[in-house]
Amino acid sequence: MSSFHLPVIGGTIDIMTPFLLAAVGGLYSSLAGVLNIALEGLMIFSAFFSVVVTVATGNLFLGIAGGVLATLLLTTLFGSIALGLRANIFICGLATNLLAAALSIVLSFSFYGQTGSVNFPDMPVLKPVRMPFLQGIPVLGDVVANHNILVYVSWLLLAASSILIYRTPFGMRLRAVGHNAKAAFALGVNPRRYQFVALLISGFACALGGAVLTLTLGAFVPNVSSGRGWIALVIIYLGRRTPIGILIGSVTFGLVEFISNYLQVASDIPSGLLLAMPFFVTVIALIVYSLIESNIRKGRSLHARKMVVSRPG
Amino acid sequence: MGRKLTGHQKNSLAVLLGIFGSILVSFIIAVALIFVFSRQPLNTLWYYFVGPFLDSYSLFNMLESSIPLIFSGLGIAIAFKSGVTNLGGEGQIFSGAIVAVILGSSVPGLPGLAGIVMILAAGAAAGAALAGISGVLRMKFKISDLLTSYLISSGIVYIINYLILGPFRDPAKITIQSVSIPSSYTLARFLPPSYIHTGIFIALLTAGVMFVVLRKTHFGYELRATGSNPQFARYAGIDTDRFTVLPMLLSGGLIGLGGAIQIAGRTRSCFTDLTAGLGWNGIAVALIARNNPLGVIPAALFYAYLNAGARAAMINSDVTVELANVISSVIFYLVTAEAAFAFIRRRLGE
Repeated sequence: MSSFHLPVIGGTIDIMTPFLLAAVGGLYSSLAGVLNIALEGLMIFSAFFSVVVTVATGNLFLGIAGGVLATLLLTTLFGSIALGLRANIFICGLATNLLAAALSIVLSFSFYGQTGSVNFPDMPVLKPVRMPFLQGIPVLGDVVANHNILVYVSWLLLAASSILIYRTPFGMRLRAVGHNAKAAFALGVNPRRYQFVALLISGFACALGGAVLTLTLGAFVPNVSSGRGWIALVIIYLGRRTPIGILIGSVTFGLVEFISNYLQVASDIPSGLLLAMPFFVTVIALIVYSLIESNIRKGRSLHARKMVVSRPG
Repeated sequence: MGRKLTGHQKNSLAVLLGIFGSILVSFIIAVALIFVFSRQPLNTLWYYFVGPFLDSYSLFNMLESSIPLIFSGLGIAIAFKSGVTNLGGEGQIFSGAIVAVILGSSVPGLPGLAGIVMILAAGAAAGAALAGISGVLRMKFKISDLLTSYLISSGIVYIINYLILGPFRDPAKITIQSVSIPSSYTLARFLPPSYIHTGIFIALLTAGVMFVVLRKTHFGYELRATGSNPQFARYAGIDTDRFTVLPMLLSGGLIGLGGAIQIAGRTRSCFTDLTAGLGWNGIAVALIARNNPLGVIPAALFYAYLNAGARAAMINSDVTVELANVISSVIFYLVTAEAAFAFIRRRLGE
């Protein structure tokens, strides 16, 4: 592998992490049959609170914990209204996105006196941590083994999820609830409870995704997630709601954003056009996916017809 | 009482009470939030709730700021009524505005009225085209319009910002803004020095027309039927594919028109933060109006009041204007929770 490819892989791994975390989180709610369009807001909420707590305590671990805690509270509010009161979950999701974006700015104004980006030059930031046992991987060792701690956490979370979802009673019940809530209820599973837990897990994962955005930056930027939570929804859909599909999707969108970032520095294409690129790539990916799907379906039905025709008699 | 209310009247009364209840609760929460976030809460409260009415200048400006909200509220209400989802309001308003600016500044020689009609039609067409893409993608490829409308809009916002900063920037201005439309293409301001302009009559008229179209025409009937039960509508012989794309076109068109009217009536040129959440607030307006085109008018006024109050409080006291969005999100929760409550009450009553 030439030396050019390695930074691309390393950079993509860093950039894909918020996508991966949000998508893993959204996977749980999606499998439980809950439309969670609040991934974006949940990320922003944690992106803000993890900075606030890190600045206040000087401790990154507490910062991440603070971001997670605040986001779980917001998720509980969202879940209580959407599931507890059986309100329209789509509207509740919009409300959650709006609340997170607005409240973080209002609080930023009351804590730091600013409504725009706030820089904290003295704040500790997430730095790459060398993982000696990953270093041993041939060729890729160097690019895989040198990332911040939340990158490794995202991999662990993905691996744990593929076990939790497919190999444990909890995961099977969760999928049963999403597949057919009434049938699951008849079998003694409380759908609302599983959906609530799924929402909380998605809040937890989005919180980590939001924390990685600002804690590597050492600053809070309003709307820092800039659509990643929505693209994560697309990644879940295109990844056919499987952990491996989500990994492929996150790598793809990580790479798209890496290219967009790279071209902003290395080419004279206006940055506004490059910032728009991930969104249009996402729409094109949805179209291509749908075309492939319908071709497969056509192929199948053609195949089935042949079988019927060729049957003797 | 001499006369009993019919079931339908009772229902509408319950809906109205529910909406006013939600708004009342949201005011109480607003007061609580101001006590939390302001170091001089009484001053803030005064300007938040009374500020927009203190003088005729503030009052008329508040009315003016309801104009784009009426359009975005109408657009979203039409989409919801027809069972399609349009989360692309931001991009549609913005594209309506930029197309109006580009066309108006490059074809400056027409007589005033023709010029106005031209840029308004172009703005509506731009919004309709953007939303229409999502409609076509859903019809042809079964791709979620919720996702594509948001994604396309987000991408377009970056492109329009680029157009304002780059090719269509007005180098003669100190602030970053696009070139301007000729003054002959602007809608008349009838109560100067306030910004209120004749666009408000276009907004009211459009709301009335939409009400009639939805309630009294065959088209509106088919649109509502598809929205409330697509399967039944298909059995009844309605071309539901058509009613995936048409409402999207109409929704985006209304929102784009709002953007163009903002240009013709208020700003004459495009700024990078022109939309400032108008697309999302349109959803809130439609929600409060329960997707009724005539209800959109008071809902938009209420929203304009909420934002004008926040602006007045920001200027005269120590809170930031985003406080209005926090209150707005609370209203979202309350209105939808209230609808759920009403549903449960009905179920218990049966």
